[in-house]
Amino acid sequence: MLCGASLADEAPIKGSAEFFDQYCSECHYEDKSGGLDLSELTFTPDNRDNFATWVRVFDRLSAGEMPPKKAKHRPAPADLATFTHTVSSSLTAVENEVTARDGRAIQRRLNRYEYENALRDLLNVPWAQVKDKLPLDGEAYRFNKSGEALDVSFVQMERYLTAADYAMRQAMSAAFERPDTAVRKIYARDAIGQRYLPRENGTLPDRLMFPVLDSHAQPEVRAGRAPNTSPKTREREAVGKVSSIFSDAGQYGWGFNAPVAGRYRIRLKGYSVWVSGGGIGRWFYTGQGAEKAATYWLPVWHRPNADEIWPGRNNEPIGIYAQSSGQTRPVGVMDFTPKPSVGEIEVQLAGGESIRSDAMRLFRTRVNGSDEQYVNPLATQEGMPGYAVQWLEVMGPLKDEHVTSGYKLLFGDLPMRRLGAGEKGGVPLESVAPNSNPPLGGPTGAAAFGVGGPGAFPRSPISNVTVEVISETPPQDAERLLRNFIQVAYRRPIDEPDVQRFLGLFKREFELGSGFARSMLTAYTGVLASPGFVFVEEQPGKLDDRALATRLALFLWNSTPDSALRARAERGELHKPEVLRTETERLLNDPKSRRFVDAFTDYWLDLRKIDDTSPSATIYNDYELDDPLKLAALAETQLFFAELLRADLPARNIIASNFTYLNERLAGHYGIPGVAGAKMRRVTLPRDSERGGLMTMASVLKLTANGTTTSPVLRGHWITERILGIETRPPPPSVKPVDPDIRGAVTIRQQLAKHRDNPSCASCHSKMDPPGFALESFDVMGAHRERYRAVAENVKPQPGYGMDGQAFAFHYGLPVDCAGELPDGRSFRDVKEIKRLLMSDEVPVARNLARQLVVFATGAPVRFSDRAELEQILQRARTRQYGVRTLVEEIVSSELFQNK
Amino acid sequence: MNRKFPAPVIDTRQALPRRRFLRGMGVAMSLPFLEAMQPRFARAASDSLTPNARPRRMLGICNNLGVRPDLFFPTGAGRDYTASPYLKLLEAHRDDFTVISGVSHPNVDGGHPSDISFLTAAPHPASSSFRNTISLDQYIAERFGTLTRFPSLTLSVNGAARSLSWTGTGVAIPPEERASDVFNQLFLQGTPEQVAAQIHRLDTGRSILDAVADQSKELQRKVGARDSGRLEQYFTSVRDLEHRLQESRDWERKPKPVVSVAAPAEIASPAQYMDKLKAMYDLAKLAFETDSTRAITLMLNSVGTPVVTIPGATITDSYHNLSHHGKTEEKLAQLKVLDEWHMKLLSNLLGDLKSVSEGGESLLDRTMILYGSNLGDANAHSTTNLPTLFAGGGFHHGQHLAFDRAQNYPLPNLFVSMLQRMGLDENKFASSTGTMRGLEMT
Repeated sequence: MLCGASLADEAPIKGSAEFFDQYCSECHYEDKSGGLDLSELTFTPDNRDNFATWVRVFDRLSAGEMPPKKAKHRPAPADLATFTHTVSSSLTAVENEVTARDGRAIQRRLNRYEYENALRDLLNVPWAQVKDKLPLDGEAYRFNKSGEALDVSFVQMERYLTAADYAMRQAMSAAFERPDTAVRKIYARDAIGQRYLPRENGTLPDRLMFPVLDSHAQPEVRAGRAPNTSPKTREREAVGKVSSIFSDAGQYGWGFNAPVAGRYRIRLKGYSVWVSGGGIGRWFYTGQGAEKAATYWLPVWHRPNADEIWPGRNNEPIGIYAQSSGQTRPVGVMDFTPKPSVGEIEVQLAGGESIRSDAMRLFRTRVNGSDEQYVNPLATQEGMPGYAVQWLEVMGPLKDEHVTSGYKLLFGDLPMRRLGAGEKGGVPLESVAPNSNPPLGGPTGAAAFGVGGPGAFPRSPISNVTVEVISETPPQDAERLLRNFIQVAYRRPIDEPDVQRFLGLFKREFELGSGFARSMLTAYTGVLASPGFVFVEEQPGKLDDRALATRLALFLWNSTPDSALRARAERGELHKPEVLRTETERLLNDPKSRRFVDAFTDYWLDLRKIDDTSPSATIYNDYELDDPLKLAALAETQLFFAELLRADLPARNIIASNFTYLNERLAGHYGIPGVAGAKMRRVTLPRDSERGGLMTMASVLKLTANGTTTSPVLRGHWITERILGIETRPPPPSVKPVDPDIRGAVTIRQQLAKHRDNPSCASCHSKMDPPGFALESFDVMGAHRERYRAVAENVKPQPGYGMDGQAFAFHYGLPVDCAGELPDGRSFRDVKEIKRLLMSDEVPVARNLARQLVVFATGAPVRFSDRAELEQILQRARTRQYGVRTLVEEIVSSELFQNK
Repeated sequence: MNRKFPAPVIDTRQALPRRRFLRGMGVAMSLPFLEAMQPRFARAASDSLTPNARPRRMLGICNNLGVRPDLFFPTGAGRDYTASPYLKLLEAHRDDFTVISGVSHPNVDGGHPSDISFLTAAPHPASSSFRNTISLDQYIAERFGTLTRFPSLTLSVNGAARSLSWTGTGVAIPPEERASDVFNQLFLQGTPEQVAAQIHRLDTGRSILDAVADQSKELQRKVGARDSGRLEQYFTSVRDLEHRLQESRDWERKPKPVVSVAAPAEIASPAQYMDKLKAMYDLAKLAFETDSTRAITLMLNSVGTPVVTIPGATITDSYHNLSHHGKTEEKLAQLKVLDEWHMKLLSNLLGDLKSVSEGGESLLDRTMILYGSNLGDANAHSTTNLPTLFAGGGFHHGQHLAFDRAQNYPLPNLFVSMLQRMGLDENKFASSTGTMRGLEMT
């Protein structure tokens, strides 16, 4: 029955019938308490549910939870030990057999993150967008690292062909045109032209720009009675605004497009200003045709009077964005102070990407209905803040000696030539039109500094150029290059059938007259879509050095090994403990390990779902549109985890830490003083701060809410499962979902009273709910609250305006009750107290983190028979207080990692 | 034209499973249609497989925020039901649709993520080890797809990441979001050079796939049984894609249909949800009229939609936030505005399809339209008591099928009825228990 048992055995585990008859039959035979029927429980290990049931039986018996304390018949300790030992041996034997035959992990393909990184590293195209071309990965054990979840379909195959072709052509583009490093300086006054006065579709006063000189207004320039720019004041002239762009999707553009992919240094000069109120209420046009004229309403205190400007009273954070074909991504932040200063960032841009800048703190004018009512939330009786920007300077592409290494891999030293019109064949490359950028130092042509927004993006400067690669001896060059390519791309030695197979692709294409370049790309596409590249190849048992290298790189870089790691593997030394340790350190210290942090937290903490909900415009319009807050919240979590890893900080910091990462916006959100500026930096928290650790981070609190309401159950469940590692089963199907009441008559806690009062609910909810109740002190974006926000017609709303310029509609209603009780009976009054209680035993937190890391690193969960090994990992990490880096290192040196 | 299955079909009845057959023969997939491999089709189905048979179609629409149940569901059951405020807007077509209450997909829960299970009925879509199964339209596409230029069309409004169409290997087919792009694919002729280039491209694709399939077979010999399954899936997907490329290749030679309507305009803003929806409805009608496809899905990604622009009305909140009305009057009123638009556009679609005649029947009579949602009440994320409208296709309509609101009747039963109407001899789909009780074919 034990070792050597056939997996199709249907008999129960030895001794179980007697044991169950004697000690379990009262509840688990006819009554099937808790859904568990032990009356005829056979052992069919092929059936996952059956196996899981036996594991549960073992766990509850070993923990002494079953039979319950007040049961009539409880087994003597010796009998219990014998039985649990029998169960454990049976389960372990089955798993060992599977491990020996198949390994712990099922063979898998690279997930879409890994495939993107692998292509980027192979072809040296760090800007290439590959991940978005591939279908979403499935999820198993909460990650996208297991073969069970990583399917292949015809859609996937088609996307591999497209993605590989695209990435290779990016590498060719990078080598085709290498303009010299140039400096372009664009003055704001040139970029905007003379558009200070309202136009037909830009009549909202707060959206208008205005001229500023030395922190003061220029009414004559603004009215058009004086020239927009003059040589004497050129270097000091600026353009100002009191609002941010109305939509996240559009920013003010500078008319610069990156001529080729590469690194660019961007400098922006400007300062903050203060603008008086009493500006014109509204412009609109009346009349038609020749009689069309602007009329305006009376001055309003919260509208800017752009003819009265003063030096700024505070700093303004400014965001820099890169944009291409409608997609925007943030690339940097800087602070404008009342005195003019230059902020500088270095970014990686794709060819054709444009640069845009925008204030991050100012409001976004959102009209309500058709009569354009909005109020600047930052306006006071004395005026409002604004910013003034002077010029943008871009230097690049910066010299990069590796930029052609992708091309070299594909075509060696063979030259490229542009094909003339009418010449057939060749490969189309994307190229930026030569006159899409302003000439050095001069004014722009087309409207560049225009309002962006959905549907209003400028024409793309990208066009196609067709190139051919010149080879004097095509068949020989093809074979030589292909051999080398496969050698580099595959993570194992090449074999002749592979070479011939892909060379055959080249020959077929070349004979059809497609030209050398296209024919080579066809062969290469085959390689990059083939199982040899796409699948992670491992044999059951101890991994050989090459497989170990791949696993290590996929773990710590989320990518394929670099040449140094491969060299170690080729020399057969990687499995040696000192070498493995050295390489682990090298990979962790490399900036590429940030990919591990981001991919791991994307799945462990669901950070990739941060945009799945947005704050309600009715209740939370102070958060709605606050993109910088969300970005800071994400960065906080990623930087925090990266630091735990870098400095080998104890795993218990996950529950509570004395530091975190903040910028001014996030610190303000948390109510932590003394943090100024837009850049994220490490901050030591005040002594009795409720922040610190993951549970109270804005990102986690946002992810565990839905933009409108919070749920203690959802938050509690998320925390207990993801952080504490306690599994709970889903609710029974007969439970009706709760309909939250945002009118504020009843709190969510009151609505969930059944969880306490009903014993069958309480069995799970007493474990899940407590952290959720403690976190009721935090709203949908993670800010502290003493009272719930509610909306009701007959209650006066809170005074104030949101980032959309609309009045608050909410009022503060019922008070938050965040007290609770842990399953062991210890009670807490608030989140600080529950953190202290949870910190009393750091082992479950460390154990859970280790479990998550094992799935990420090996593609297989910690199974029953792996538990002993996991405990050894923890034991070895104990001397370093379960430091996160130590856990990673111990996992790498474990049997779990070094075997399939 | 070759009659091949575009994807593996493990038919559990007497016909030979394709894979076993292949292994025995040891040959590649490009075999002519073999009698032994044809699953048992009903007589009607065989008719519809011949080129001149009159087609039947399906259009599956999921509004992933649903509608206000208090204004949608009618009172009274059977033919004499009293129309609800929403159904009154469809009054002109009362005899052409059936409204169904008390239905849901068994064990499909999890709130918003359940939209991807709408046409698959795969259980627990929000769980971390969820594997989706084949969707109704792909099931149909596998069997009828070769008869049209496009085996299916997967469309969406505002939803690039949410798809109703899932292949048999549990992978989503990304939806087309731009009606103008779809129109071009359907009707824009390529020049001879474009056609030749396209054929060349397809042939190149197939040769690449041949090479990698070869390698996967070699690798499969070196791995254990469990791992072999993953490589087998890879191999199958490669062959699947090869078939599709082959079929596309055959279609390249045929001229595309000529239509007299103009291409739809680009609608860039997600706020123009209703315009986009209308454009998709128009496109679906055109696609059916020209027999460009027989299975269309349309995901209305209301969850991912910002504030909707409605002429003459004021909408103040994004669609998703509106659906969490928390019983506030203002939000409920705005939701009503949006829901009524859904009903009006649907009514127009039914009218448009009715006005096209096809051999003595209307296009509506030959097209099954399912309009529903994965959420019965978005405010509570409830996935039971789904609002369901089923129109056209050749059924006896004009009734309210009222099932048990406390113990829901399985919605997949409707899918079985639909498959049988298409001409397939099916009596099961996912968690169905039979055909839909009370729904009769004409």
